Amino acid sequence: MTARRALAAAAGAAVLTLPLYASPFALALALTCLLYVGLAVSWSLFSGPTRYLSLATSAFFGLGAYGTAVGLGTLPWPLLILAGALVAAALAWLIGLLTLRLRGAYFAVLTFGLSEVVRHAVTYVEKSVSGTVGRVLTDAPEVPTIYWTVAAIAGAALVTFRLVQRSDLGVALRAVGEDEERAATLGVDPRRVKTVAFCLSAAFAGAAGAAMAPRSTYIDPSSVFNPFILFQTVLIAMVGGPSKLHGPVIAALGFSLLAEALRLNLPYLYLIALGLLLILSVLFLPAGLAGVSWLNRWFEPRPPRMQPDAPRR
Amino acid sequence: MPPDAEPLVSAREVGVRFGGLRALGSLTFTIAPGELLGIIGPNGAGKTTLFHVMSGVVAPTQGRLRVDGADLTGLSPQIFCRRGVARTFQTPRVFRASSALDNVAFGVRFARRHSGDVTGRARALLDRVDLGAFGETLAGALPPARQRMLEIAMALGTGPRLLLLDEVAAGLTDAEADRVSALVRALHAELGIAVAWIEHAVGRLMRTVDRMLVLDHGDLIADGAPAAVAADKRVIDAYLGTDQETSQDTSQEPPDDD
Repeated sequence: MTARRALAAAAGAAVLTLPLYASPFALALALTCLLYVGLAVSWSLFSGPTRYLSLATSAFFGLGAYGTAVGLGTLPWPLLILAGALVAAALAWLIGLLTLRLRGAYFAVLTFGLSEVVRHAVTYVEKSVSGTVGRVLTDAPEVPTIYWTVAAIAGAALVTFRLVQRSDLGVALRAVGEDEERAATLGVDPRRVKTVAFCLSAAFAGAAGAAMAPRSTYIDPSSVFNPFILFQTVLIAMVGGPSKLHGPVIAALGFSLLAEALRLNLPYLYLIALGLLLILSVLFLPAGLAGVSWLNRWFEPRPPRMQPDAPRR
Repeated sequence: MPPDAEPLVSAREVGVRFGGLRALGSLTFTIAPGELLGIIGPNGAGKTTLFHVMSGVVAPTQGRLRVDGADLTGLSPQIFCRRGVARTFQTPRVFRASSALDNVAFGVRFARRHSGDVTGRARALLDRVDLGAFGETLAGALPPARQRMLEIAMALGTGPRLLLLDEVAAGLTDAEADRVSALVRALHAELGIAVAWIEHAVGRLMRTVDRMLVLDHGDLIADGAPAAVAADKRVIDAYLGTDQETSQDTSQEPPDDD
């Protein structure tokens, strides 16, 4: 326990002080790592326990990014991040209204379809209101500011994942994932708990999008509503195993570093290699890294239970 | 109970169709608070469908269903749970990867009718169904008969006023089934709740309950005291077939009994 605590504290300190001494390249790489930690963990927050495969991450991310593009220079930076989170959560509520009654492939396909609708809607609005589709970002904050913001979002996602996992909400979500109807006969309102978790998960993706937007000086719908962000997030969470916290974290770090190494060394084989990685992990690690027992023993001595750990009033 | 008491459940012309298949015809009946009711019928008579309707798992395609004074027709299972209906499933649906204790605590926590120590309450209920020694056992590792008992405890955890038991004594030896009958009677007496119990073992059910509903092909063909139901011509026909000798004692268990 204390060894883990010490390691976590050391890792946290290293993450937070990195902008003070790291090279721009290392900082950019670390930023990518943190981004995918935040995205994969927040995706797992909803899709892990419920087993509802959400494919709407790009929509949340893109909407957050567009919010920043519109509001940069008018709103202070923290408010932009908050706005990104809120707008994404509102969109999740709307998407949830339409899709959370569906299960399995229907839910997955419809969330993907609806995020495409959002991308086209943004394109249409931009064209008809401002005349152009893209936006140039001026007054962008410095890279360390973006880095610390994304670090804070990733940290908040980690803490929220743990809190939810150990709360009544987490218990209800896992029950919904196991047998939704049975959970309902025992008093759980599945629609409500799914909606809460889906919005919470979306808020982090929206905040991440809002924070990452100024990394490019020019954004347009196809760059921020990029399905690749979704694919990477889902890939990381699946390889990591979305039911446990450490799975997506390890996978996000490993994946980001590997992706960077592949992109630099094998630019043409980059995506093929990632595809192979997914196939291998599905074949040999069906529960992801979270299914590897020695990792579990180290990171989670007590498995999550159907009851919250904290004593109740 | 007084005959003019407000019924706990009141079904008026409730029916269910799955596409072209008529699973339940048009049932009209009431259940009084604190009643101990048996429901029998040949395979495919619609007994389990009736429980699905009475617990919100399946919405009726016709008729109205009132529970505890409120019209719950077509509402979700959690609303029925909040209104005091709890059930078990014919094939147990426990949370297999969780401990027996956590399974019981689940209903206690989410039905929100118990304020106080959730785990203590769950432990007491586990003890009540003789599973006290299995609190930490994973529910999926319990044999089916024990999972059925666990489901009773899970249902009781929600603090119901009506308990729906779907073949909780199926596949048991006579001695075990006797214990289940005794448990159901005891729970009914202790808690003062209404119990509706589906069982294939007609004879056992008749000895346990105060009133019987008999379903056949989705229709309610008899409703009354066990002795009267046993003597009913339509019930005898439904169980033994109209071609057969009908002088047999119907309080014996039917041939398809488990």
